[in-house]
Amino acid sequence: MTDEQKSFDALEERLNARKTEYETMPVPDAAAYQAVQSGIRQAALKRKSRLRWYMSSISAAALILLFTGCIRVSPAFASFVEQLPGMEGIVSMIRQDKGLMMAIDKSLLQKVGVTDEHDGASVTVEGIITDESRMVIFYTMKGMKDLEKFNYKIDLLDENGKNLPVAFSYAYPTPSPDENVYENMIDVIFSDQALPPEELSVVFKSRDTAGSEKWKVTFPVDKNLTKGMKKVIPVNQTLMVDGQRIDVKEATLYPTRLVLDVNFDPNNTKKVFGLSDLQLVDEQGRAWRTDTSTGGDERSIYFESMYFSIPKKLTLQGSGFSGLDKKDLDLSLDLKSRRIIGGPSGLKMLGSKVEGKDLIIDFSVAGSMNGGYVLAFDNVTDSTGKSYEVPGSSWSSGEGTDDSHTIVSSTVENGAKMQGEIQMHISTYPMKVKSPFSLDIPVNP
Amino acid sequence: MTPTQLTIAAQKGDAEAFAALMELHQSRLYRIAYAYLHNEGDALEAIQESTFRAFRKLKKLKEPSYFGTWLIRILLNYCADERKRKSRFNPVTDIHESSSWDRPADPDLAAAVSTLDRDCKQIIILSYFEGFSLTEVADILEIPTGTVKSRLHRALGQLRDQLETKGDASS
Repeated sequence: MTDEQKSFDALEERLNARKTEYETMPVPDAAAYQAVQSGIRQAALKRKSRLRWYMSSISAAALILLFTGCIRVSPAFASFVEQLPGMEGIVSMIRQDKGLMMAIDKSLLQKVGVTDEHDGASVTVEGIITDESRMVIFYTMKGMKDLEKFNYKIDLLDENGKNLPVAFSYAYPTPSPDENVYENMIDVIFSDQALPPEELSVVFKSRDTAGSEKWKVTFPVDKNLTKGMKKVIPVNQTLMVDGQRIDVKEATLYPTRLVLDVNFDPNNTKKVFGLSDLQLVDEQGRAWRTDTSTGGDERSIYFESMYFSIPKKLTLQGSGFSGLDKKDLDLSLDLKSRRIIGGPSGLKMLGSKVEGKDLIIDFSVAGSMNGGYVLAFDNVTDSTGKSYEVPGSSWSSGEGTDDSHTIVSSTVENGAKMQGEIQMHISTYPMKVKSPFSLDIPVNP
Repeated sequence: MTPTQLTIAAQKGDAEAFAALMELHQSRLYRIAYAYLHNEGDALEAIQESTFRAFRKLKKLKEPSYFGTWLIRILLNYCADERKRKSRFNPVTDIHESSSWDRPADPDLAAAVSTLDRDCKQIIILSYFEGFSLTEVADILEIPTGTVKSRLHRALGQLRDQLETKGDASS
């Protein structure tokens, strides 16, 4: 045996001894499990947080997205929808919406099939489903570049070419088995002030500064299909949740959704960001979920529609709310000393850094962000009275093992030069009040 | 369900199946990440981030039975990305009892392994510590088997050189 061979053998022996130490390395199973769960949660949230909202008549602060789990509908629905050619991917997107599935089952889907194609890329609106309260637009994109990043801006125009004054959301494209084809949907909120147009144009514009490419698909909207399909259910009852007065005014049932109008009393001592674990439960124990609401203290909460399966009894249930004492909404922060005056206890500033024109302030927040509400600010003013926007916050529950606090990074737009003491107003905060409530909704008066 | 069935279910959007799948792999991910990053906080962060990336990219995985190797590749890519780690906070991590991995019986060898260059360290962790075959390592790193062999040779050579300059190589 050569010396070289010997020295390799000796090295392998030492490596094998190290292997034993490797294999007996203690794994913090609970923490690893938590890390996996947060990874999944973030991935799911990110998918949601890519939803973009366009608004004009509805104020920016008034739109709130809640994150709820999924529900499965019966396989019968799913197989029915899967028969729609080219829309298998869409099924997985609306599978969590029982109301929408039933509406499609009742032939309320309008086939459109209009395509705009140029430069080797095309956008096709496959179909829509609409009533006075909502429109869901299903479309496919073929051969477009950069779909992974979805570098497109969507405009919705009426028959006069004017932007519709509506809020709408669209998600990241879902890759289909064929990599060049993406199926997706746009979910539009209509209201009494903004009803669906007779003719709709959907415009996709490249955000790429170099490219001025755009695709425009125009099609008529058949409003007769769901005409007169609207049921108003007066409720007019008051809930007291943890001393806060919440008036439940009425529910309006459309084929695509149920809209519940509630009012948080302006005299409440707490600012309610949203009601927790809210659902409507029928006599069979079926839960009709919500994932969106609009408005501030006067709020419309959107639920899945039970229009085509009217229950005998309907109960509104919730576990409490996310909210904060109104006096804790304002705080002043000294950027240099990191001292915070006012604001919720458990909020600390960790540091700040300049990124381009923006200032990113890092906070430590007591608790986890699992409830869906993140620390966010709607207004920041510096010592000279100049005000700034805080369009985004990101957070990581990066400590893994430590669920007791979360690090949130808030981006103050154009705030790079801010100095000294600044005033901040909190718009949402991850503070939950547990106080279960329920209320009967008189579906069959 | 078998791991492959779980993968297929997860690709169809079943988050529970995905979570179950991750549970099967989390200990291995942790050990690899720890061997690479040397502390619990960073290793857990690596698991979280790899889970995030895997969940987002799951539909792109063509062959469900390769989930395991694919996942390790994602983790290794994360670990190799130094920039990501620097921009993050380093919160105080829990003080935990040191294991024999942290207090090695053969500290010279342990130090030599941890100072290997990226490619070599990956090869040693995968081939020696995880015990993957040459073909499996080739799959994980998406390189030909021949390259695995030559890297392995290079890694062992580097280790030997390092240990020899310390003057304690076996004779």
